[in-house]
Amino acid sequence: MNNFSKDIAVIGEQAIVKVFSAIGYDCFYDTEPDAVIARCQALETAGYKIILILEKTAAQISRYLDSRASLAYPIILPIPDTTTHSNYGMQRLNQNMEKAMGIKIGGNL
Amino acid sequence: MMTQTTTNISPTRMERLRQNDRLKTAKRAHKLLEDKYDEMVHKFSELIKKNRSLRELVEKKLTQALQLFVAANTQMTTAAVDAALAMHHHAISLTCSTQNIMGLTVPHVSIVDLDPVKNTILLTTPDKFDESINLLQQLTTIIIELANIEKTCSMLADEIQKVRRRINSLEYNLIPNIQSTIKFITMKLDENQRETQIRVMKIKDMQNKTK
Repeated sequence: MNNFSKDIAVIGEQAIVKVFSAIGYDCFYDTEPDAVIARCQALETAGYKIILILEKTAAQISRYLDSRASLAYPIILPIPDTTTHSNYGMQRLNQNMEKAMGIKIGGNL
Repeated sequence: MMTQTTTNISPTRMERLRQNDRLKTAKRAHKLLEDKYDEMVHKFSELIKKNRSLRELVEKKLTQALQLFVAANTQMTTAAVDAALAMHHHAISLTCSTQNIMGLTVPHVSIVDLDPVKNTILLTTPDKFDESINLLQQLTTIIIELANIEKTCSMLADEIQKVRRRINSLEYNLIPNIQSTIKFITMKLDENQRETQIRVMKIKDMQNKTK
């Protein structure tokens, strides 16, 4: 891959995330948590603004994601994958709601 | 609620004036923080609704697009997939800035240059392949909006938690402490005044007796 857009990157299994290259995202095929963290740090240094990570991997590096929560950029966004339905993105959304409201609200606000 | 009186302060009128100023400032800060908290919660509840609906949409559509791609992948060779992806190549450019919400710096991403969605259909690729790419192209703007809102919500939630802690600390710790310190100084000053009065009365009494 030569022409990196330096805007949006996707990290995950090659068989799943490869398709994002067709819509202008830069794809990186790391799946191990340590490798994903190292890749995220490298992408942050390189100036990427949005990093999409498959939910399965994002759930394994939640501590790292929490450490980046106070920074405006890069925006690390968990996206669903085809094999597992961990619902990690929704869980994080509910966690945010609990943090802000002080109580856990199960349904819609 | 237990309050802790600062007993190592000197019980003087000057100190009481200083403590009164501190109390006034603390009460004003408490009110301002409460207003900030209310506004942030209001903003957060607006954004979280949007966040939830966008995430549900993205999860549904993206899973569908990825499943179509994985299914198409099984019908094609790796070289054919790479070639087809290169044919579809689509450029995207973003402007990334920050915006201020109640003193909190949050990201603001917008698309500058996005090629119009073209329903490109290649003769050599399966229908599912083209369908998945078209679906992803339609999702690009929504994914960027979701990233923007989700990050803002996450940062707002952290800030709301911090502000709530500050409010609680002022309400249940600092303000009661200052109030009890003022009470302590007032009591000490009153006691001193009574002591002086009694002393003067005693002296007068002794003087009267000697006469």
